[in-house]
Amino acid sequence: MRREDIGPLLSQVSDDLPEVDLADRAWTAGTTLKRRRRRTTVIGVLVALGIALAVAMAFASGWL
Amino acid sequence: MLDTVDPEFASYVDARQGRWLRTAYLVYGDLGRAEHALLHAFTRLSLYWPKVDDPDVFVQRLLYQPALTRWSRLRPFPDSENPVEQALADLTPTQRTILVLLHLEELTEFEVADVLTMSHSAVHAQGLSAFDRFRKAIAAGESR
Repeated sequence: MRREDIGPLLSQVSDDLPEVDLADRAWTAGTTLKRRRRRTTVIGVLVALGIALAVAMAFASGWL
Repeated sequence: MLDTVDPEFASYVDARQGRWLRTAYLVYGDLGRAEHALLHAFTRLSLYWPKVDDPDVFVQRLLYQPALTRWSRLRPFPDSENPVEQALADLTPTQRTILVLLHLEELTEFEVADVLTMSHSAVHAQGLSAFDRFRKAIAAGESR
């Protein structure tokens, strides 16, 4: 077997695969992922602000 | 990010999905895993579209690097009677990936090294051993 024979052999095996349509699925999944990331970031910032506010109030009222 | 698919992204994916699904099928040895890996790679690309410098390398890295793991216990091409698939299944994940990228995708050794983030000499050595092992496995299959 020569190196040039490998490509056609591999092509034969994979030529019968079904057609797929991934553009819409990938875009929709990307949109969902981006929204989820944004939501997580917003929640994280709000939680951090809440903790900071609670600590500040605790300092102000002399609990800490 | 638009809710409806960007036309340029759609045409980019349409032009490549068939070829990359075939390559990923041979690398992973399973159509379901190949499709999942390709969808994951295109999904990641959509997050940064159109700001990615080289979308082909971006997708190929996400598509093929997970195939190199040594920890997967899933055997490629289970129950296959095809001698070529059996010969591919005998290779290590790295050998199989490099063989397919060199001979089906027709990438150069330098391009494969870039996609798989390996050194050129490692790709060269693995490519030689993959070719040798694949050739012997095909010959053994023919003599059976």
